[in-house]
Amino acid sequence: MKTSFLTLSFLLGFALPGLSATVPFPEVPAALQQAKEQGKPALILWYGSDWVPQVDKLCNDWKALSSSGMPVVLGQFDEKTGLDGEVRKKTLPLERYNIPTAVLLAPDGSFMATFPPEVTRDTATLKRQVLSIIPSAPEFMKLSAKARSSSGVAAATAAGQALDLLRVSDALHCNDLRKIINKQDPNDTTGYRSLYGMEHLDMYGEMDIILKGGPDGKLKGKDRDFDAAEAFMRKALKNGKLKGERRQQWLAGLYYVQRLKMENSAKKDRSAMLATLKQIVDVDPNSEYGKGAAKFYHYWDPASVHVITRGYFDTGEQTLGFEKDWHVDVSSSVTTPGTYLFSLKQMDGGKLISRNYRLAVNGKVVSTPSIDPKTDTKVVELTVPEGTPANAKIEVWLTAECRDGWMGCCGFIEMKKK
Amino acid sequence: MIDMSMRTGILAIGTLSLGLMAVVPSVAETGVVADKASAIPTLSVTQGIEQGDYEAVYAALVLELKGRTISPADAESLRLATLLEVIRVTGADIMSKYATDADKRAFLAAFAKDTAWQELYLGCGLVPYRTTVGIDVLYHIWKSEDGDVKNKPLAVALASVWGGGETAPNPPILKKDPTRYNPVWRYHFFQGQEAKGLMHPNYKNLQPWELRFVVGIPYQDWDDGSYAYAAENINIPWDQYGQACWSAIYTGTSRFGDTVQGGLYNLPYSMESVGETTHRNGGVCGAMSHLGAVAAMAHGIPAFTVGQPGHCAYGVRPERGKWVGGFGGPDGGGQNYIFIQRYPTGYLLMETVFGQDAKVKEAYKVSMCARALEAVGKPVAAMSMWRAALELSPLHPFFRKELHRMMMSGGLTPDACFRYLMEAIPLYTGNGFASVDMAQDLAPVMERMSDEQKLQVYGKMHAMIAGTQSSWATTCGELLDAQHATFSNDAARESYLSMALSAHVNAGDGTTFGQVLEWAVKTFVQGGKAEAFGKAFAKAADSAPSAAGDVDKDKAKKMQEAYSKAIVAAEQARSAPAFKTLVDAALKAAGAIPPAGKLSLADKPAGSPAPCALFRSSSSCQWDTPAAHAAVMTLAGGKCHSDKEKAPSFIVELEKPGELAGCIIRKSGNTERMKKATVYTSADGATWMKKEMVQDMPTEWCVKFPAGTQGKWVKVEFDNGDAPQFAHLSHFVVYTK
Repeated sequence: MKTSFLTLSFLLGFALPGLSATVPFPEVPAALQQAKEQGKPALILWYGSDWVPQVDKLCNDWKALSSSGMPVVLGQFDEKTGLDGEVRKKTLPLERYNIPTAVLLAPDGSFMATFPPEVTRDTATLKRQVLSIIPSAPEFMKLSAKARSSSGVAAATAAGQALDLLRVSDALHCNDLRKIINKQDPNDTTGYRSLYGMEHLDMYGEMDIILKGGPDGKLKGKDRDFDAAEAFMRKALKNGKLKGERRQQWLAGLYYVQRLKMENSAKKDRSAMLATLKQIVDVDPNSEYGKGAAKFYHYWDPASVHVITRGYFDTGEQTLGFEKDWHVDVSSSVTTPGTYLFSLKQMDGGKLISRNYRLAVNGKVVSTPSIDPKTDTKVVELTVPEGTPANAKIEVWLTAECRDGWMGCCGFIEMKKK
Repeated sequence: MIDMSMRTGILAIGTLSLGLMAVVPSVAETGVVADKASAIPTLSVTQGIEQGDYEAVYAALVLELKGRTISPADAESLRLATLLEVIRVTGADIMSKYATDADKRAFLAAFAKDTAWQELYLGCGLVPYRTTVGIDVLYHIWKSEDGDVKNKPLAVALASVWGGGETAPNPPILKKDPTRYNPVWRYHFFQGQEAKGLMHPNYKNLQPWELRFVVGIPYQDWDDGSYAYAAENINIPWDQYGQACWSAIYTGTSRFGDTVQGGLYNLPYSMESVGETTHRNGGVCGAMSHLGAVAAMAHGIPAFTVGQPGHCAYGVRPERGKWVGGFGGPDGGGQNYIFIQRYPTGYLLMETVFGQDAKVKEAYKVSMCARALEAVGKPVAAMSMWRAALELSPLHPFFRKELHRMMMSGGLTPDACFRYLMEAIPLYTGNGFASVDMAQDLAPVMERMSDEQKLQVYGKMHAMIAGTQSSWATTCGELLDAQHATFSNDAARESYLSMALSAHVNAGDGTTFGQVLEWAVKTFVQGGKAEAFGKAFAKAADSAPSAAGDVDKDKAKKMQEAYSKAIVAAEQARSAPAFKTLVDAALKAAGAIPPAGKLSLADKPAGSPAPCALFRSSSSCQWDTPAAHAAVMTLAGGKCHSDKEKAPSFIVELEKPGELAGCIIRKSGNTERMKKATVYTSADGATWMKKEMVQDMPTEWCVKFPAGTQGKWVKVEFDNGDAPQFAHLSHFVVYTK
């Protein structure tokens, strides 16, 4: 994430009660100088004394932190409203959009870690996390220096080893070391390129080149080189260093190639891509990749259905180019047995195909409308049979497909007694 | 509170400041009930409210108001008039149907008794028209607050964005998932944020019309969860929200390989808030601009998104009157607007209309009285009252519209229309385009004004436009076409041209002048009226800034760009007068332009350099200097530079036909270009006689024509085969005997 600044010259001139507290720490340049002289990392509080909420508590907690004996030099960057953008860039060449944040810099000024507001405000947690990182600082500096002063695989190895000492999320913000890895080891013999050098845009960028047959390639559509792209992904995945979200990224790339293969084949066999999506979930179901893969698995899995309970269907329920069953819970709309009119009131412009309606009570189909199941319709009559228990779970099942990826298909659902 | 002198003015019909009484046929103040539904009221106001019969309430209000002096100075009549307006704008029938529910009836009763709340509702800019959406939003908020709405300005802002207004109805809201777009949730969210001290310091001072740009418009801005997410995850200095969009990565490809232009991009995350999905996974301009806007709004800073050609941007407003762009904004087509959709015109007007809280509040009170006067059958007094409202808020488009409606129905004459516009238009300083929009209501009468009257009115409009902030988003070509077409003869149209050029040549930053010049060349020069253009332009150019003058660099650059385009257009139109006029003006503005080379004159044709009328290049490009084209035809030299072509050419047209002795052509810079060259002459400008060809043209090429060569045009053409290339000369001097 990055922060950049406008060059507006006005100041708001407001001061709410309790704001404008500060900390008695040196500014960043002086803090870095002290850190270098003392051979200690610098921990900088990046805040705004005239706008950060509860700034007085924040400052008081950090003042207390300064007497806690942490082997760091504490510094501050007070980014007040109206600060010139050029000043900010020179002070801390980082981009952050959620302040306050704490920034840990090695004694030589190299970036090592950043901490989100909830940790920055919780100084006990902050201290624990900082203390777990700073023992690596001397080795980090040594390896970084080696990376900068050498070349080829040796440079990439040193850079990668330096980044190994950091948390992965922080390593991905060390752009100078990542550049060294990408430049000095383009064939990824060290494994550090796939680990740190390439985020998803870089990965798909290289994949696209392979798919079209090289930098000047002209392959398109089903003629693209899917096998070479898959090989590129699998080679990266052999890298034992790839763990967690880094592994998930490359698995997502593999899933993408497998999906392209499926879409461009006659058999449309989804088994390989579904297996890969499952692997992504297994690595970590709670990461962005894990959550996304689970949703994609559900989307592509022919056996899954969309369960709709809220009287509204949205883009989450659409499938593009293939059908999926919906189970719409209408229990609250069914009061007594009889004939009901079930309607999909589409509100967006996408082309929605909806057919094959069935009425299910407690998971079993009990009635179907008189129309042909192949008929595409948004309104259908369904009969809730006599004897349906009052507290039964009543659903309308249908088969749906959205044929417009741009407009999407969304709208209201209604079940009214005729 | 309206002062006594104004009150006297309102009551004393004979002292109307715009002289309308002299021309508008008087309308009988008959006391006839305007609304047939109120013919025989059967319930009192109180009874009607209790029973939820708002048609009866309306009738009873009219009856009560008839017996009163309706004036904003009279608290009781103002109270009745305000409620009357709420019922009118919502629809008495609609309110009655809404009130059949006991709970909602109780809410309406509470609302009907709260004049201050009604004033906020009616003064929010857009007021939900003939729909229950607005009152339903208020009802749900009222219910959630157990009947004690703590923040009424916030509540009415939500009602306004959800319900829209007569000029901007909001049916699209009905398409949105109510579990994710909920005005009650938003109300409590903003209340909570304020209670925690997390809002911008200006937030507590925002009026309902400003809060519209904080609560967002549900059919265009994002879902509720996005606000909560942005409040939690984007926190930067107050003046930085124009950069908040960059908190997400700019990416056209999702983590799963899908393009942002397709339906699967957001599919993996479709049930999280749009804000969170974008912040975590990135997007392109549309998503990022919305993210920036919602981040500002979540912190109580007004913001909006705008559409631009092929792009989405946004604007944030850290203080009143100051809209700052994000991702290339704030100009463009807005979705959240009160008066005009096009920004900056729309927000400039809005800031002017609402800029003074006390005055605009008073203006609204006066407008309630105007409506009431009309309802009780007193149109003349109603019209006075509308004018009084406009004295307090002169640019309010809705007040103007009502006044115009009454003027038109009263039989407005062209002369009266002319006098009215001559007084009204100068009020629009800084909002020139709004003056044009304002006059649209009166178009049927303006058509019947004389050409001289139209010229004066349009002159005033252009004076206002000239003094208005320019923007790529506002162009005046259509306006110029429309106004030009209303004149009855060529002389009048030429006068219009002269006026338009003169109005803009010295004003603004040169943008509008450039548009006018482009229009003038297209309409006059290319329309076969080059002489008229020349005369009109010469007059305007006399007052144009010279190079020696103190002209801002940006403006000078824009002026030169405008002149360059116009000169090229004049060449293409083969208009020698327009060409000369424009070149002279361009040189006056820019000063002398050094030539691109110097002739050695080692060899030259017989005779002497001929006076030339027009230079024509087959194409132009960014390196061309059209203002220096004329000088290319002289011994002093100039500059010309075509675009890359297979066969670029340059043509010189003499002032008079004669015996052509020859020409000297000199290349400028990059002399390895322009190898194979052929010179032609012509007596008619269409038939070309080849005179000489070289395979490798020297830097300075002297061509001597055979004796007796007659003609008026000389052309040099370069042959680049299949590989397009530039051509550029410092000299193309034609000699005659």
